[in-house]
Amino acid sequence: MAENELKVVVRGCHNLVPYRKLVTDRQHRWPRGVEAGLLPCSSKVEAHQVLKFFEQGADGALILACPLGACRLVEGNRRAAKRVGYAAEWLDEIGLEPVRVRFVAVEPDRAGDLTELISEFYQEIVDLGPTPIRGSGPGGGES
Amino acid sequence: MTQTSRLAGILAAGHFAVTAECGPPQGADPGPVEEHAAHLAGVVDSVNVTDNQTAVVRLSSMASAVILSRLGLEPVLQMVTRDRNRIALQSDLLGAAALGIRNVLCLTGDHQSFGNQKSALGVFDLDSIQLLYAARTMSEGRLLDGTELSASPEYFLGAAANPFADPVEFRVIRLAKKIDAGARFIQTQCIYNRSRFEEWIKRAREEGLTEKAYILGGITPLKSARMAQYMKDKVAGMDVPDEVIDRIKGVPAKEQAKEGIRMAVETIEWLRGLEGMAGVHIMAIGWESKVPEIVRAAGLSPRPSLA
Amino acid sequence: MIVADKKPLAEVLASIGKAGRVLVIGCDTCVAECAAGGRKEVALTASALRIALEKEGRRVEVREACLDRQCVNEFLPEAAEDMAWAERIVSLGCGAGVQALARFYPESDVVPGLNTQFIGTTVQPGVWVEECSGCGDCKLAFFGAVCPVTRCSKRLLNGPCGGSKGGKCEVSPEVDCAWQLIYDRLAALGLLARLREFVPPADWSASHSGRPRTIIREDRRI
Repeated sequence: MAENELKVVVRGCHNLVPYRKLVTDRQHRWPRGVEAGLLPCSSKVEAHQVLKFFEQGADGALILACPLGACRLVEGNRRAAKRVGYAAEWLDEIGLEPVRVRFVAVEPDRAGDLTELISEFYQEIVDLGPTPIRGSGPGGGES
Repeated sequence: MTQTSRLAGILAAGHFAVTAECGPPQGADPGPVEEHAAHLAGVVDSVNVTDNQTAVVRLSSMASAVILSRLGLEPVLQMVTRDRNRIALQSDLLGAAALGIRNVLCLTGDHQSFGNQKSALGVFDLDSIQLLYAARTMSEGRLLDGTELSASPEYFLGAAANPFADPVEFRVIRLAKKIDAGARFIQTQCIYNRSRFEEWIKRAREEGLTEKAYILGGITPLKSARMAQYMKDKVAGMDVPDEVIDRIKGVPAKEQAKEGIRMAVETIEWLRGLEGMAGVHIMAIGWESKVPEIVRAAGLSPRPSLA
Repeated sequence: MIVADKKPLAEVLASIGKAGRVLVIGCDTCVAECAAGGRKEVALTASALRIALEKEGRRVEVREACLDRQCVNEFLPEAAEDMAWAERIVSLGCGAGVQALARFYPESDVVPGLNTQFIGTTVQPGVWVEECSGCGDCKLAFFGAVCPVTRCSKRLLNGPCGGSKGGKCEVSPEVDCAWQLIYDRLAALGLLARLREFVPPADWSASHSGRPRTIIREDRRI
């Protein structure tokens, strides 16, 4: 499968200023297949949402937050890290590689090249290849 | 059913008693029990038979006790409450009496998770103190619910005590509870930490408990420094001070077993001089062959005869 | 509350078998509190099932629902449409909820998605501890409100045993020794003398050992 058919979801806390700038920058070109969004708090992401990304065809999910200790909401990033870890356990149980979901507390020295960080993760997903899930099944959902 | 307890007789006569222990095999062949018996015959006053110790399935203590009896040794039947409910326990107590077994050591037992049947239900219908109470009540002619027995059994009841477990402040109170419930002899966990043991026996004396029950100090000879370390780190309820480890470690590997025996003999000699002690309980499981040497070196051979 | 945790996904998949329409239905009470069977867990389980089934190349529709309670009949009619639609229902209720749901919808094939564990408390977020085994003859008054029947690995009423070390049970260093807890509590209350008293054998006929239990209150029956 060509790498441009991969789908990678990126979510980051809107308090992570460099990330917010990237997302709101209309000039910025994301790698093909990357869908980036903002979170009001990094801990807003929970395991069931991560699984939903993969159910809907994502091949990787990257969650970004500030360094531990620097969370404007004090504990958001700590909770986010744990929730992503839990999501990874579920992925493992389903038979998908747990490394497809990643939480990164962005160190100040890497904030400057966030695009590179995101590209690195993207490349790891390329190397892993797509999941067998295309997200085009009957699904279902809340009735 | 008129057989009396030799162990009780020895203790009543004021002799320093010597008891040992025998672990039955994990199989149906009584041979190993007979071999252990051969080492211990005439050397000790009675032999404890363990009851599925550490929750590992072994030839039953009742059967092993009968085998020992037939070979002329006096058994102490160990009975745990982990595996049987009060119906079975009271029934087995009657069975023991009918088979001429008088000495019964009432224990709760190691948790089933230690053994080889980890999925087993832990029964624990009674605890060790309630079992003592049940046996005592039976010797008075009744079952726990008040039903009268057609014939009353006689027992010399014992219990275990661990001066080294927590909460430390509570251990002597628990000893008192066991004696109140019916225990007439006590065998302690094996002793390496002498000062801690001295505190415990001192408190027991102060509470008058050494007047009410015979206390036998537990001795397990160390075979090696590795065994000593294992007991320190891995065995629940064990207190092995560093000085003990250092002493046996300080000796070349080939000499460690001899040193372990020497240390055991010294501890027995120390126990004999300790006020309130009525005897020693030698737990040399897997090393029964060394018991005669230990008893002799401690000056406790030959065993006194009863008139 | 009743504390449960999730069954391995492989077991749930095996229970689903060849069903093509699956309902995952949760409960918003106890199992939501212990993060095993509430709405979020329903969403998680449903997504996981969809992904796993798609991986197997199977076309299975998975619906999600959640009831306030599964153990009280009044709350169950709400699920009627989904229950009728589904070929197999994975209930994320506790054992009581699963059975109540199945009994209310006797033509539905209900399977459990959780392993119900115990009656316990949330001691801190993410930590649940077993407290009560429903022995039917509560002795907490005697033990300073620490239950030896439930919290002592050997159910001792005249504890502790010789394996208590550093306040922990011989079974695992992660398990508190109930008798250390009892001792400390009674010591703090100045009631240690209680532990000198013999506690006679329990009456287990009041517990589950006696029989599966039913309580009827005529004053409450309509």
